[in-house]
Amino acid sequence: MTSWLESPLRTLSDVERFESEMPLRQRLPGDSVYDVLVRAAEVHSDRIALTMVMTGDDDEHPRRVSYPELLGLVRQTANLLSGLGGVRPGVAFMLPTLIETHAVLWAAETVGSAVPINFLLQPDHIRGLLEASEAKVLVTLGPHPQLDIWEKSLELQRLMPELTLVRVAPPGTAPVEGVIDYFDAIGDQPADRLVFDSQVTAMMSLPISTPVGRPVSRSLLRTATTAS
Amino acid sequence: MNLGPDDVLTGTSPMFHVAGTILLGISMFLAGSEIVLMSPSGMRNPEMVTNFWRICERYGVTLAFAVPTAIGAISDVPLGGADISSLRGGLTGAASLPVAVREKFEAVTGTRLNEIYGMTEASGIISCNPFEDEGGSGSVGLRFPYTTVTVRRLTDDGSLGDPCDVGEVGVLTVGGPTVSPGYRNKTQNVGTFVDGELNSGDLAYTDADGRVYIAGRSKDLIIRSAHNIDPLMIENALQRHPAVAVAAAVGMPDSYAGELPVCYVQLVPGVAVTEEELRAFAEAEIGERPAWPKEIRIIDAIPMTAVGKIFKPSLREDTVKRTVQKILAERHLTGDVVVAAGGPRGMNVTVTLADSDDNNASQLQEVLNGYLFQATVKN
Repeated sequence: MTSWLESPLRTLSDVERFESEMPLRQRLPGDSVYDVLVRAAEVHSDRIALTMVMTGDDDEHPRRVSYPELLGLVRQTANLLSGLGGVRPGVAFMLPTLIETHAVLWAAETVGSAVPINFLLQPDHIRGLLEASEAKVLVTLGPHPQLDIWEKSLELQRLMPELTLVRVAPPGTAPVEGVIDYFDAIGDQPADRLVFDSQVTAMMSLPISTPVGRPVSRSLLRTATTAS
Repeated sequence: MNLGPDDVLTGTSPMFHVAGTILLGISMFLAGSEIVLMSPSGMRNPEMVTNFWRICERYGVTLAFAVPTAIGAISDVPLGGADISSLRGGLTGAASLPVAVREKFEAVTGTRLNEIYGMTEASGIISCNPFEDEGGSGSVGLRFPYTTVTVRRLTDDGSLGDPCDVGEVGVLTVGGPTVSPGYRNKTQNVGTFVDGELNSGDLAYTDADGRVYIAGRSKDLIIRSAHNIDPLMIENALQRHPAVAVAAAVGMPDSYAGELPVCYVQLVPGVAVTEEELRAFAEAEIGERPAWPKEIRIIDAIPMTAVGKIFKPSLREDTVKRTVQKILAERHLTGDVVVAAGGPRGMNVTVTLADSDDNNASQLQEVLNGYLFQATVKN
């Protein structure tokens, strides 16, 4: 992949030459999103994958996650999810942009399929998306002063009793019966391997929806075939 | 885009959106790049806007990604001494980019702002301009490798026809391995996934070098007496006014022309300007007279979707509501006007008259039937 840097594509004929050199599959490091992360952890072992800026102030010390650390978080999360949703479960999440959101998204694609949910939608609308995507697990944010994700999640659990709720909340947040605490639960999972058979083709359902009205459609994305 | 392990991008998109997951996710991991996650709520957090350039300096950001409205907001923030020499350019997408916003970004940073064209149904990215190439300003660039783009003529029955010539506007279709096999509910595929190609619904043309130019969203076109007006033309003109932060043009119902162009404007905070001044400015900027906005309305905030796209349906509803209220006032009637998107004509209007009689109601019904929306008058 680093060879891409040596010959940047400037014109349409460059693009055509690039395509004729080899098929797309040969340019990709595997068959799945998980393969991409495994390969990145090897090749870019000293590189930062994610930096979480909260304020942008000069005295901030943000959390930074390297590629090997990201792979570890994805493995732990995937191991947790594999025990919750059965075979190739649909895993929905309602999370703001966090490092955990990346862990959940890529873990969901490793065990089954990810269903990212716009948490600004109303519970009835979200329920429609969860049912259409057959999601078994909902990873959600705990109580928050500005966001009402938690309140919506409890409403969804009431509407859909079979839904397994996993809550991302700061350590020390009081436990809630019938809700799995994300940080507690991944702490028990190994970070150096997957504990399940990962015969996977990464799939992601992106619910295409507008802030008002009903979901219009959803698509399956073959994310592993997306080249940067 | 030539992303590599030396690149650092700003993660500004929510993670229920294709930009926050594919571009600012798996694409970065393939390249070994770093994503700086710009707070849990992204650019909705005002600190991310005011501290943007300092964040770029501190983390060595090489490519600043944000949706056009956020690019506009950060371009209004002075560098304040921040050293942004690491920056090699800006990237934007998810909505049309007003020319003035690009000019402002490029003036502030001294680097190029490139538009990405993409769709969820095509796994995120369809085309982009290479940073190494100087040309292509105003285009969405070259198709990505292994992705095909074809601009097609519309046939008389509305279906997709033969490919267009260079420079000829048609409907953009996309093919290749990144195109989704279809929606989960297959009945929704009709008209969108056609013979293995994705119908984008966007109007586009290509130039002799193969670059793609988006000419408008087919459903966003304002149609004034069969004259097609691209809202971007009006929005670009008004965005050039220094007092304008965001401009959004939509069609206002008219019994004669079908629709007339109007433009909603959100001002830069702390700047005063009148609607009349903006109208004079727009008329001087827009060469095509039918595209002159019939009305300019300054509002506190242009409605946005969660990803930062201008949400035009609520502006369209507002134009319909105001039009109907004006008709009521002219006829010395009072009543409740409810407007809702939907129905066979796209917009449903229900008027419940107060202190009125059947005669007034049936006359009003007749007047409203002259418009493109669906109207029901109750007494």
